[in-house]
Amino acid sequence: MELFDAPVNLSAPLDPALVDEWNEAYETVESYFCALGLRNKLLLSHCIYRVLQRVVEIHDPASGQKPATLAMIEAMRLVADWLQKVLKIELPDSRLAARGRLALMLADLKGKWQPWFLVDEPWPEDFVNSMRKSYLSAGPAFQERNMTPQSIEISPLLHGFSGALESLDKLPVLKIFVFAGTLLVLALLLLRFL
Amino acid sequence: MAGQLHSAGKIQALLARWILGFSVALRRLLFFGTAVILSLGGTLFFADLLNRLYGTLEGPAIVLIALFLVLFSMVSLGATHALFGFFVAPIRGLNITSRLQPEDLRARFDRTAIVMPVYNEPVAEVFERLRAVYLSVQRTGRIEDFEFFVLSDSTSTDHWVGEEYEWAKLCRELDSFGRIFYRRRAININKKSGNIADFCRTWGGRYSYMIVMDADSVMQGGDIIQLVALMQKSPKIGLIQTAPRVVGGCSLIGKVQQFANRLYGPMFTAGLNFWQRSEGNYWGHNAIIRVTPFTDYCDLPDLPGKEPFGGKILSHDFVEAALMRKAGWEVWLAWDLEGSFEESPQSLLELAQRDRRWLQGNLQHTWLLFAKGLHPANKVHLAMGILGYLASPLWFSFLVVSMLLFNKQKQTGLSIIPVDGFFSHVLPGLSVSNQGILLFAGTMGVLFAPKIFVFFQAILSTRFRKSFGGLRAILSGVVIETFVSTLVAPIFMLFHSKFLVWTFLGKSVRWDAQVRGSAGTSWKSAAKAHAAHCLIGCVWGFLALMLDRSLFFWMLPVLLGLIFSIPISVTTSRTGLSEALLRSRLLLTPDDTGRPWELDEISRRLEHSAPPIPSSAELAPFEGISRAIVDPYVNAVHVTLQDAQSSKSESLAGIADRLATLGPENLTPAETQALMASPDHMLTLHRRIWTTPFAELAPWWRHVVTGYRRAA
Repeated sequence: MELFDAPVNLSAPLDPALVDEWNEAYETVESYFCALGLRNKLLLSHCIYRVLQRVVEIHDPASGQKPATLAMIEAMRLVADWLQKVLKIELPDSRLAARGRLALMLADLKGKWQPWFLVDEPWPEDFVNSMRKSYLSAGPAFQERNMTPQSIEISPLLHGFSGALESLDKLPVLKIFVFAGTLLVLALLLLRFL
Repeated sequence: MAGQLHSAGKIQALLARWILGFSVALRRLLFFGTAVILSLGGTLFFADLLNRLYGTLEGPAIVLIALFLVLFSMVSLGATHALFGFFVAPIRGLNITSRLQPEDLRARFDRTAIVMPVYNEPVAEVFERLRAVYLSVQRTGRIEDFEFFVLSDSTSTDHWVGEEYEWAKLCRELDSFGRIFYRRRAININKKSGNIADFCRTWGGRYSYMIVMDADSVMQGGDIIQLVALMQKSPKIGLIQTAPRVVGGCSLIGKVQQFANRLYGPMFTAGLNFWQRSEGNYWGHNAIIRVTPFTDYCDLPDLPGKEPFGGKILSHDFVEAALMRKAGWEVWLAWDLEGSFEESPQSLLELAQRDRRWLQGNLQHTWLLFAKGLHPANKVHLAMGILGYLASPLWFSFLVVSMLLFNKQKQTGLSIIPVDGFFSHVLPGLSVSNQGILLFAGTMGVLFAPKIFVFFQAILSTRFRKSFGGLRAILSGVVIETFVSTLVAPIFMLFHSKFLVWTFLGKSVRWDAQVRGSAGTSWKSAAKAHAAHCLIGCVWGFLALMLDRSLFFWMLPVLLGLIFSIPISVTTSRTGLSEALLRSRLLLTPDDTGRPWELDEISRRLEHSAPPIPSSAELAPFEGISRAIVDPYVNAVHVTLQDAQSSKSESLAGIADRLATLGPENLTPAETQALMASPDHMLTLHRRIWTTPFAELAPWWRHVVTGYRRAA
């Protein structure tokens, strides 16, 4: 449990003018770790301190890079490095991050494995197994079948009727007239008898 | 010797087939003979009455008789179903399930897929239902024989992302990786039937059977096992449909539908099963299908012409059953399996929206009535589906013609002098007024036949009686159900008539997801939808009153529904009244008195599920894309499921940049969808949003990130 033993050293002098920026860095990293499901405040604080400690070491105010940006890059790198060790797979950085986050979610980091987050080896065997087997497959291997539309033999008379309807479709105004005319004729016929 | 045995076997098989055919023919003769006798008898009685009143039958009277014949035939057909259902329901040997022996349920099963097509339906509900079905199958100890698929056609990005995440969560909770799968189609060709066909084309070779569910379906594991066992045992069966019980009614109209479905449904379906036998129908879900004949024979052709009458077949299920039967495969209805459930719309407007879709689909079936090779039983199913909607304009016409005829008589200023008719000879001394009363009583008798049979069933069966809360609860429930149905029927008469005209004029149907819930219809929506009904009701009532006071009172049941359609629509969509009725132990159904644990589990989990952080309301209207980019887990699931081949294109880079700098409101839906399908861009955006200083983020992203900050 190296993380808990590591001394928290924020010894580099902080420019008082940058306090707000460092606070923001803290808040951003905290939000990200919370979004990952860290609910143990003590562990959360240690993780954030660890990230910020590293950022304090590398931050150069003259570079113009904000501490919040550096802190998030560092946090993501830290998580990716740790995931690489746990999963033992070779993937490009971004893909590894996604694969790792997926494993964290499916292995239930929030529920079962929180104390082991960002902790160095050795890990419990169940945790490692759970992380390594956690992968999603949208479906089994394809086993295809052909489907061909079946023909339905319909009376030629109806085909003619369909043709007439289609012709009417091309002239919507005429269609309304035909429809209204039919109704009118029916009504007149009915009234004639009354 | 072998040859002789072979011939004897052939003769025996031939004889068995002949006896079976004869028995089915006899049943149909008996069933439809009864319906025809009822219809013709009633119509003759009505025609005779008109003849006695007016002295002659001509013009509008003939029209009226023709309309009466069609309408009364439909009512008679319903009553005949109830009549036969009442008598045959207890005979277990008539049901397809009677073929099963206990050892069949323990036999080896071929692999079965349980597929649930979804389309922009409420995500949490869909996955809770799937979870309940999975657990129910697991309880039977046969989960190894099944694989589950959520087949999404969702077009909304909120649903898309939500479904992916809920699926991943479900797999984790049930440890069902490699057993529950999720597939989303980017292009929804041929809607639901295309969705299932796409599944068959892709994975059909892996499964012998598929159980098709709906987004609002639930099936109990025991019944699923029975369906597969039946398929294993009867290799000639291509499809078995169950009769889904309506559940989940929370509004008044929902509860009334649920009550009616549970009370009368089994009787009707038993009657249906009596005559249809192996020429049954398919209702689109809660059914098991043999995959090979389905893929070989049930791919739907386009109908001649264009929509609304031609083109793609909208109501695919009836046609698939007809094609299956045409190819020689049996289609059965397992009406007695009680663990098959579905939900129904919870307001008149939602019901009307569904009917609009079904009406156009059923009208398309007119073509198939004249198709060669389809079994006559399937044509009867198709015709009943068509007439179900044509009945509304016919009923409307009947009322209008009746009034015109009445007016004509009134205009003459002459008194009615009844003449002798056929029935006055058959029943000497039968006065015209008594004949009118008899006709009314007979019509009511046929209309209320199912209710009368239910009353007898309640007296005869203690189990049945208790499951509805006792005889008093049943009788009170029937009165409430009849009252609500009477008020609602004329509203649907006008809705269906309007939809029919729209369809004729070529206004085709939009494929909307059904909105189900208890929020209810707002007064504004109700006023907009029912203003015309209300107006027609008022004018009609005024005209009737002008003509004759007694005519007005006769018309009152129809007029009340129309005049008060707005408050009826609002009131029946709310939960308050139905909850009050339930508290008084009214409209109770077997789900209230002995709820299956699957349904209980779904309700309990939905009630206690924690809301997402940030909440959906905070992220509306861009919840899907916001979570897929910002939430580390949702992003991971989403990226994993996208096609890895979808590369980082330059055009998408511009869109991604616009999304990051300006927010999702500046993207078109097509751009959003295209971007979301690119895993690389989604990963880059995730990193970009989190590493950009808060103050420099676009307002939308600040809003989203704030949600996560607050959670911290």
